[in-house]
Amino acid sequence: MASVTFDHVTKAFGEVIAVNDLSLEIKDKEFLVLVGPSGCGKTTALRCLAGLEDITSGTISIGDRVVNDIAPKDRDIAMVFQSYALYPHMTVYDNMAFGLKLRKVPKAEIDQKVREAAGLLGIEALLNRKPKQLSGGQRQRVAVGRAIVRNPQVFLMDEPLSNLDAKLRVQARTEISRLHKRLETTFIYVTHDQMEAMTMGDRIAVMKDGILQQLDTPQHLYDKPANKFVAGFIGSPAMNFFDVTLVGEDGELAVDSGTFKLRVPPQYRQVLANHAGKEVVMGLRPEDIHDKEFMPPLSFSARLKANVDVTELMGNEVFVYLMSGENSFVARVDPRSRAKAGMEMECVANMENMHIFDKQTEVAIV
Amino acid sequence: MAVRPVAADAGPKPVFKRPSLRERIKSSRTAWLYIAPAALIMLFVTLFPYIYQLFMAFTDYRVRNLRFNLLNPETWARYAPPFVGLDNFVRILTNQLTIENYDFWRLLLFNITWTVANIVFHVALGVLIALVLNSKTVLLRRVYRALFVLPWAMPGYVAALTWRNMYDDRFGAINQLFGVINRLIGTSFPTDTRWFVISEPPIGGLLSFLPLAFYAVLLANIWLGWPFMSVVATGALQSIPKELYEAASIDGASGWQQLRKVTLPLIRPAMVPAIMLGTIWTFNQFSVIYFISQGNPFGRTEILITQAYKLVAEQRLYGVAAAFSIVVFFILLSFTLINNRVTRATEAYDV
Amino acid sequence: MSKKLKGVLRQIAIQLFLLLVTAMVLFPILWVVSLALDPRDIDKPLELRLIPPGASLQSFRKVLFEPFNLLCRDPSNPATCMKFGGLLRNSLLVALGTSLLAVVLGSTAAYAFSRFRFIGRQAGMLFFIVMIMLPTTGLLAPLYVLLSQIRIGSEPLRASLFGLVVAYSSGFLPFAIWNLKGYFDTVPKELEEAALIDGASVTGTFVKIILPLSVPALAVTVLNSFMTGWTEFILAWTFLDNPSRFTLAMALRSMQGQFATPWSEFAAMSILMSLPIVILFFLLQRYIVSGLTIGGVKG
Ligand SMILES: Nc1ncnc2c1ncn2[C@@H]1O[C@H](COP(=O)(O)OP(=O)(O)O)[C@@H](O)[C@H]1O
Ligand SMILES: [Mg+2]
Repeated sequence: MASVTFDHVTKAFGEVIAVNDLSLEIKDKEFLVLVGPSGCGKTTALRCLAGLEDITSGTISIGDRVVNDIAPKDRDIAMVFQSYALYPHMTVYDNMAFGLKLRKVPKAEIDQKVREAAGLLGIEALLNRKPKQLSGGQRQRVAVGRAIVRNPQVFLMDEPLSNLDAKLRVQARTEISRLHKRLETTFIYVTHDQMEAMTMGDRIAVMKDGILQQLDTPQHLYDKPANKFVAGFIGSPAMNFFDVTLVGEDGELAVDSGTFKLRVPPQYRQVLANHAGKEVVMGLRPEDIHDKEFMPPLSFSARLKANVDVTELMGNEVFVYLMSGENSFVARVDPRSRAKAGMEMECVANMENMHIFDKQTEVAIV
Repeated sequence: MAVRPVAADAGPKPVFKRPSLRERIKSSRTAWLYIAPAALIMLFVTLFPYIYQLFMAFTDYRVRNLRFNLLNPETWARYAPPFVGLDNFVRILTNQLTIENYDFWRLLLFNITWTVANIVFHVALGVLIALVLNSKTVLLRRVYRALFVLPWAMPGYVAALTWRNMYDDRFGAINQLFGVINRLIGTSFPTDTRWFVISEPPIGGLLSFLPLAFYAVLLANIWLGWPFMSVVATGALQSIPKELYEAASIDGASGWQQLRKVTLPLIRPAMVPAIMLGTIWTFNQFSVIYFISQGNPFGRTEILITQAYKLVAEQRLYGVAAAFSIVVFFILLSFTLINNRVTRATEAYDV
Repeated sequence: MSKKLKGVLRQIAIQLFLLLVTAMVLFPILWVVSLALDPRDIDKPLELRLIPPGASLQSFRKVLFEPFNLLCRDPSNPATCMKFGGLLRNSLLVALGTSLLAVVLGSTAAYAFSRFRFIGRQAGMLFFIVMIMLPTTGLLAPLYVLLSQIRIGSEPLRASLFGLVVAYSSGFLPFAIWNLKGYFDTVPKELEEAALIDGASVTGTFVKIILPLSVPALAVTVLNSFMTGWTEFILAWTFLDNPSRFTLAMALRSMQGQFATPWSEFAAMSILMSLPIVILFFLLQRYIVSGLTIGGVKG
């Protein structure tokens, strides 16, 4: 009943098109994350849904209702702002009760709801304080509390964790996920942090320059990015890209970077056959490049040699920064690897997980 | 789940349409509802009189014309003031008014000198004292801060009347103060100075157009005016982040350099509009001149606005007074425009 | 020189300077106080003494309880003369009315200028700046004519206290709107948006969010408009006919300019008139620095 639909929504500020022809269906009770680099129009999309901006064209519906011309207060949504936007002159209690008071909810019910939400978030002890007297983490909880007392159909959150330090952020992430399970409502969550998106979202919508790039589950997004931008944006360290030429060799297909030549696994040959001879971009995630000595069993791999530039020991793994001809790339290898700066390393690439993108359109071919 | 292949910057360019006039009027409606009450009252009680004043400025408007009523046609023929074109302005600028000691250009020169002298002292004193009180180590700073707003808190007109009486030649506090000083340290200052009568200028040369009375009213108005500048400067000082000073002292800046390179540039954006407003207020500082010196001696401490008031109150030359106000307006307007260009060239500093 | 000694010397120099400033600031005020306490019925202060010999509160008593014999409907009959109580009532009516009107009309208009983009916004802001610059002296005559035309019941608006309130607040509005708009601009827009989502109307956000957060600027508006209404007398002197409407400012003015100023009474009256303003000032002092938005300074 509380699905959300963006249907060809465009929002322009003068010459700047903040959201460009966005079509998006968010299911009831779904946790949808809107992710993308800063300035890509995430906030604007959310504000359009909240009714804080008039859209230039298209329609937005909540449930079966087109809300284009409906005031924010009548859309039955709640929003957590990036700055939290707590009312500085009201106590935590009044901040949370404000929306209910305006809706003329009986006092006793307000009290019960506020205390229940406060209990859920562990902020009962703060109810009589003013926002100024709270820490960043506490403010964030109050902002969430203010949203949940209203029991809206849809929750909107605009980078609610970006003002917290790293440790709190990880903790708050799981809390919000838990809250979503408990409340069983639709959440739309905006972030520029792909890690947050990957760990929290049922589905993720990736945006760039106002345009939706891909809408998918985290796993699919990771495994099957629709284009080079999504491939590079999701995952850390980012996917390696190589400028290569597809070459046909006695019935087989290989990618040629000039310094190395890797065979393409059989399942991709048919799709790639008509691109043979063309220049394309190959993508390989760092975890698909192994040190030959410690490689896991792979059903289809290819070997290449590269010079080690720098190594970064991360404890349970090592990031090795490599150079091969013009191409520099990262491998995420077994911590036992003996790779040292300056030496040559023999690598094995898991070619089954390779990606090929069209050089011009950057759309994924494989 | 289907993967929707999308090129990174595909997407149709939306067609722009500027909101139509009707839509813009519609969206302006709420705004105008909020403005309407203020706009209505100002339209009738402020704007209309200003326009009427514009009309008066081109006529020979006198007492009898006060009966002239636009709404009542019966009064038109009998009481309509005669139209005289630019005559009032010409008379003002060429000194053809029947007021004693009237000289427009001297008035203007005096008015400008008066304004500049005041603003210089207000700002210098105000900023200096704000700076001194901004240091946390100064004892009793809260007490001083409270005391120092007193001149501002005292109704300006009561203060003006008080100063007028302080300058009384026989019973005023100033002359008596000189008496006390003479007794205490054996000096022999005159104790019967007639502050607003002496026409001999105390400083000759270029400043010989300023009688003793000028310095007397100047002192009174400095007393009245510096706390405002001090409060604005205090506000600006408090909004300078401490880290800036810390950074500056790590960079090796001395106290004096910090003042010049950090403090003054950063309070400037706040001071410039305050100075503009202060200039306008001082230029038209009616009550101080009107009550304290009353333009004496011989109209030499008269400013434009007190002269205009005298035209109305003493001579009932309403038309000339209206023209006078318009001249003052244009002087201030040109000042603001020039000032705006100067400040825009040296825009505010971002902190 | 040791650092500590240097600090002490610095402190002494600063204190000396501040004491000098204090003396200059207080001199006129203390003089008025000493005048008011002077008991000698000779009208003339002869020497400089903070507490004159035989100080008493007689002049206060006189000002407070005896009729002002220059403000009478019938000069021959002291019973028709105004007393302090009546003058005070009129002054309060005018000052409170002026500040009420200035705050209500000023804040609503300032809100529109701060938050909405509408046709005429630029022109409006320019209009206010021009209004702040225009001298008001010349308006005396046109305003007199205008307010005489409007009648409330049997008498012209001009001769009523309400007429004064309208004239004062209207004259004060340009500055009030300009200053309030500057302050409203500093209230984050997101607070209002949060309230809109929480269910408030535009008016609701204005009343429940913007106004409570703008107390400093409102305080400055109240203070200045109250002061205008409390001390203005030129319009009052010109417009009011009936002595029963006269204000304290007019009474103080009437004491001046006779051949013999009644010094003690004048001083007592000055003090009585200044007290409410000074008290208001100190009550609102913590708002004054932040409430003046000149230059976008926010305390
Ligand atoms: N009120 C506005 N006026 C003009 N341009 C805006 C406005 N709000 C956002 N934009 C522009 O729209 C684009 C998208 O902004 P935003 O939605 O805030 O991005 P994000 O939240 O993804 O960082 C940016 O280029 C931004 O400059
Ligand atoms: Mg954003």
